[in-house]
Amino acid sequence: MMLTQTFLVCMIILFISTASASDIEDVWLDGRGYNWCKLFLADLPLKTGHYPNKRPVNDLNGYHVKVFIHTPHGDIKKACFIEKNGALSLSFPTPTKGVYIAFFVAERVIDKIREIHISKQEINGDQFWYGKSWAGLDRKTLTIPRLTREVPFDLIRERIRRMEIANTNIWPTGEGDFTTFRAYFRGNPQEGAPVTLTTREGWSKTAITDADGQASLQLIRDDYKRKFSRLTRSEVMVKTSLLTSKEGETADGPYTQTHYRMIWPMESTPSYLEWSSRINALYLFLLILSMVGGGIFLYRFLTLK
Amino acid sequence: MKSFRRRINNVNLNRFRSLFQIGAFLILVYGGYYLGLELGRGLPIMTCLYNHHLYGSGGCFFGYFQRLLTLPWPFYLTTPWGKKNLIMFLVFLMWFLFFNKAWCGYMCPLGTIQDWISKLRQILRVRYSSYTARQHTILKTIKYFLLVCSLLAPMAIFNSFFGLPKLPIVWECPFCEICPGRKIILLFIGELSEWHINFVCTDTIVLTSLGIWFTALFLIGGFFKKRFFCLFCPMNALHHLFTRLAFLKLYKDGSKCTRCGNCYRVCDAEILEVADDVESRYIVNDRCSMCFKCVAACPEEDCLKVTFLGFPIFNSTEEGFIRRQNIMLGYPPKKRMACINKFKKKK
Repeated sequence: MMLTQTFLVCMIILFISTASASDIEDVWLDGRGYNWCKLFLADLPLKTGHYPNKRPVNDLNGYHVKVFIHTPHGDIKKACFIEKNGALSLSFPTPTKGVYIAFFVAERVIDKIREIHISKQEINGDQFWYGKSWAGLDRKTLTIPRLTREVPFDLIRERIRRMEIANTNIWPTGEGDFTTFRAYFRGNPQEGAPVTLTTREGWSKTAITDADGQASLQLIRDDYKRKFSRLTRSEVMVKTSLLTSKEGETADGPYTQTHYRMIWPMESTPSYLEWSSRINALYLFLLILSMVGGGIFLYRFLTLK
Repeated sequence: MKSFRRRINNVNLNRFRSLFQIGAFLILVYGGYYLGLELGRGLPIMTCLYNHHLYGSGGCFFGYFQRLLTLPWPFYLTTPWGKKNLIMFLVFLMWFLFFNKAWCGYMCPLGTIQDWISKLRQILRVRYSSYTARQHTILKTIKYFLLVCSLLAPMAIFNSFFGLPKLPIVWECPFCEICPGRKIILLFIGELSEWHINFVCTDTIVLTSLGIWFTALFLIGGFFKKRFFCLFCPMNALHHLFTRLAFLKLYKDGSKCTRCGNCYRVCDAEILEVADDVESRYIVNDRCSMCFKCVAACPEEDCLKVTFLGFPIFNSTEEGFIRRQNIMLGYPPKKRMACINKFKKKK
């Protein structure tokens, strides 16, 4: 009996570990592993799983993997993973000021469907000095989709000037309640792509892109299950996908459809409106203004008399 | 050279200062975004840190200075963050060596806004308030008290003073929380987000409410009193600690002073010493914003003198005084010229 139980437990553990190793659905580039000690070097560990249980990835067997780095100059550079303490990590130099956008692309054909998993991550270059992170950041460039032959599908953030949701490496300001994304496919805004936002606490919301390729999501109070402060920033995962009927053939065999899945880890800051009151500030301001101003006028009136 | 210096001494200071202030205001408030200025944070251009239009092109030094002090004692010199802040402090000192308190009189966006409010008061024909020496002493005490609190509170976040409990992280930049610039300057970029009361904890409620208090006081006080906020601005106090080291200086030759009181009457900060003190040579008071209105209003030759590294750059002259008086009285250019010619003949 004991032996059977042990065998079953071992089988379950083996199954879970095998499943996690082969399931590439949630593999993404984490920006948190930034190595601050190395000057101008981005370090993005490959992670899988959802936030509370995220774990490093050590094997990408069975997938055709490519990594592209879009530099601030507009060049595209290829990069490869290195193994650090048994986990895969993407390291590349970021000597120039500005935003480097890394795309991790894993591809395979299953059941005649070509699955392309894309993970996106933004890294602000030249950011050893934390304070410089804005200096080289041209926010306008962030709203340009990075479309290539290998990655013709991209998701960008709108309203960059007030960044409600920011990348882990870009300092968020956390203003406003809405965040807007726009999906692009082969140079045009893509309609009908579902954009899902999932927070660390498990709150999730989906919006479908409209004719302009835009999808707006509102972060609501339900998101914050624990007591938060202004300094609390929550990890957020943004996912989108697109199914196209493009046919073709790869080394894995022929396919009739192409399924793009994009995953983009970010951070969000609770909206100002969640923890502050503008109306109270206005009341107080008007009260003080009328009291002090009225007091001075009254004093002058009485003194002149 | 002589004619060039004469031109400078005859300059219409009010107009020059107004134009300079507008230029500085536009650069400091909008320069980061619209002009793409990127001076780096090593050069503290000193507009509000919360101005998102800056994008790293530099911010109020006082905000950075407070953040520097949040580190634990041993980290001040050992971590890159501490060293960076220390370098920034030295850069600030160098910056300050050049400008001295003329920063307050010519570049500070909050000072400029106060001058605009004063203009509004003049247009509305409301008389301004004057304070007694005792009131000025009280305001001076408040100013230094605010400076000391602004510097001690961040230190108490990771360090304990005499076994007292440490302060929460919300005290990282205590003066920024109450500074009216954070609310007023951001209005100029259409940003209302700083006008709020933060209900996260008691500390934030107190700090943000005080911020609203100070903003209201800034507006109403600035309306009735010229440069009201400068009277208790801790940045002004910090500047004054280093004023003797600066290259830009304002000197007075007491032997030439007739105690006419012109300089006192035009002084926004009501510094009596500038008119009364005929013994001191260096007359920059802790309230002085180095606007040099006193130099422009002085009719005595070389009585008041602005120097840079010992070289005189702006002196009080009789000719300059007459010229500026004529402009102030609204004389047409022909009449102004006639007055100047009369003066020359007389000389």
